[in-house]
Amino acid sequence: MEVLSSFFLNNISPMVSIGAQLTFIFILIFVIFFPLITLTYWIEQVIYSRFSGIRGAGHSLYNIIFPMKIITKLLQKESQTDPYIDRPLFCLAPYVGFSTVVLTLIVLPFSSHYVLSHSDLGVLYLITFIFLMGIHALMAGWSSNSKWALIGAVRSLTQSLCGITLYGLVIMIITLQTHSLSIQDIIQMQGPHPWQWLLFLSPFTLAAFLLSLSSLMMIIDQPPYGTATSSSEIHSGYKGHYTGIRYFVLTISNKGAFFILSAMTTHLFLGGWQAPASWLYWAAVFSPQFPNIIEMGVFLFKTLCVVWIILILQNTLPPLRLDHLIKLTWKYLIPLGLTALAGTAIWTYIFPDGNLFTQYLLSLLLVTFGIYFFYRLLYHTYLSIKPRIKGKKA
Amino acid sequence: MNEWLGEEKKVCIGPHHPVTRGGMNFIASLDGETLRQAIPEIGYCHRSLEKIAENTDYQGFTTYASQADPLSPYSCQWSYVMAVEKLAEITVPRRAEFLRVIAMELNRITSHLHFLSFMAEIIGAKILKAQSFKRAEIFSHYTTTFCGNDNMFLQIGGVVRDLCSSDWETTLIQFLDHLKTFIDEYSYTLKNNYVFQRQLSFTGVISVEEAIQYNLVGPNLRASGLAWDLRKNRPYSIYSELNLEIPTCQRNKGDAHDRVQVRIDEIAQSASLIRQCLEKIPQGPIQCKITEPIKPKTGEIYNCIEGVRGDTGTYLVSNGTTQPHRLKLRTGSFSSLALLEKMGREIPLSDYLTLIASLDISPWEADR
Repeated sequence: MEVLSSFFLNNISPMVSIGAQLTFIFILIFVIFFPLITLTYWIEQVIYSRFSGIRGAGHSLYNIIFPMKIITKLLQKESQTDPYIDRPLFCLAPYVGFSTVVLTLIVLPFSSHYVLSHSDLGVLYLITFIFLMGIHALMAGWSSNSKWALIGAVRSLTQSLCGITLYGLVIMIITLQTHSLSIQDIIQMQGPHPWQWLLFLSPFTLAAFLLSLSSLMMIIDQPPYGTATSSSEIHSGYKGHYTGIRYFVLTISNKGAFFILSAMTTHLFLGGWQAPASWLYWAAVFSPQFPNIIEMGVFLFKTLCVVWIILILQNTLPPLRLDHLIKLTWKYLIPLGLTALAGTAIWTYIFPDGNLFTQYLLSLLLVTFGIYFFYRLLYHTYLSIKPRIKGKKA
Repeated sequence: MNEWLGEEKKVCIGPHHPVTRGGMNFIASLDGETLRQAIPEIGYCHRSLEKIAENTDYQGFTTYASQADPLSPYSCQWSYVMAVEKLAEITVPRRAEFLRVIAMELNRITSHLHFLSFMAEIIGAKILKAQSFKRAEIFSHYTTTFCGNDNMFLQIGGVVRDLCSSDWETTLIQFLDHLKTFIDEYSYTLKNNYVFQRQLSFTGVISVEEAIQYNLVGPNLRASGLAWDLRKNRPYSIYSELNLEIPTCQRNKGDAHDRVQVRIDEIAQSASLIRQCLEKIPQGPIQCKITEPIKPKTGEIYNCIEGVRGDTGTYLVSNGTTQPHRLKLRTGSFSSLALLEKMGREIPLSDYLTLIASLDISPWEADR
């Protein structure tokens, strides 16, 4: 506790006045959080409409305002509260979820200097709030006074527990490898080039990366690991009784958690904001702020790639049933994580400075997989447009 | 909240639950995620069609008959119309019979595509759902351009509309080719996708004996392994002239997977029937001359055809007036519902929902 309180005092104490604090919160929510949410939401809509072949948000680039349209619509709706609910808890739950997500932004670095708090315990702080992300579901489900909502809440909690346990293991593997709990330190230990990333450091960190993707999908409740808010089965679970602005807040907390966990995956495994030094020297010629912007661009690009991959997975695969999910997690994924943890310990003992051959080999494997993936993508795109080409000729 | 703390809690799956498609209720006792007992409750879509029949004339009830099931309007309509024709000894022109078969098979494809979309939704495969639904919409469009308003197409003594144009036929055949690739993809997913296998295989297994005992009909019966199809076993209309193979399940288990697979095979079968009809269709009138109002002689008749959800029968009693004395419609969904109470014991909730979805129950048809 002393460590945590000193961390808060050191970093936020300069802003003592209420005005300054309110400005800080305003910037956090409206300048940083909302644009990121809009971007994530838009990509989700685009990929969904492209996959399902409907004229949705993916139809044209102008539909980047599509999330704004949904947001405006939801803000206009009435927030209903039924007479039999536990009203204070019901009204509070979405905002609890929202604040757990927004507060993680404090330690999330966007570049080497664009970070609200340079904390030595950033990872610990972050994982604390990720642990708290399941709480609002239970609050919402219990206070709705409905059996379906309660079933949804319990499902959601079970599922986040699986995800969080896995995420903890992943963090342990990373910490063991880098001997640091500071996110900036972890990023700086990696380099700008793929073979310098933690992802390719050893086979065990590669396994940890896959585990972190799985746990991410469990925490944000998306297929292939998520049935807690399935609308076709349990009436949207704990979200079922929410309308208007509260539903909106619940939705954007989910999207925000999605973005932040993808950003964390980028930081922990994909080198975060690290850009090649030559780019930064070139950028510094124009303005001292320019290198930071380049780094932020690199970080956002990588994060959106992770978002894209996850969305493709979630749109391709149907979700596992809850009991299958629990079996998969506790029988296979957590033992795999523990094995990776032990493996990392041995690996760091044998190769304290890393093994360059393994790094090259693993990154080459990724490149091969990537080429194969794009080949399949192009092939299927060709298959889908072939009838149209034929029709035009005829 | 004390009543929640017991071992079992009662929840209602329905009347507005995606799996009920609009108007059914299942009073379920849940213990955690396990279903202890579920009692189906129907009557939410009851429109007393059989009583209405006693107060309308024979030609007037054809419109109502199509309303028995909005997803497959021609099943009950054709069954009813054929019963009246047999009773009043009306001979339908040959071209009209071909047009009826085309409309029926188009309707079968649409309904089965809706089923595939519905099944994918219940499993949670939202992209597959959207893709199937898109195809179902296109097929509805074809049916509408051909038949006009859905509930007016079949009339006693023929049909109301002829084929639109040769252009319509060519686009239809092109789309049937396209549909072939789509259902191949769907069955590939069904066979090879891990989650589909895990959720559908060995879920809700119904043996042949059980299926006969509970009077299952149509695709559900064929999925249990019995090759019983009225189009083949008791041919009516022009089905005896067409080349038809009855699709049954290949694996002889009678689980949810087989029920989906049988319907996919039936789509291919219907597509082939439509092609044959378009080749063989003769020229001629589409409606025979009948004297209005229709007055069949006194007597009774039971007529059944192979509808979308199986054996669709009409029992008609005439007392020689312009109105039916008594009418009874027999539909496939109602008998499937009887099985659900027996099957819904000690299984996971999601499995039960998959079972309900795989039986393709239409609440409108069950209630009438």
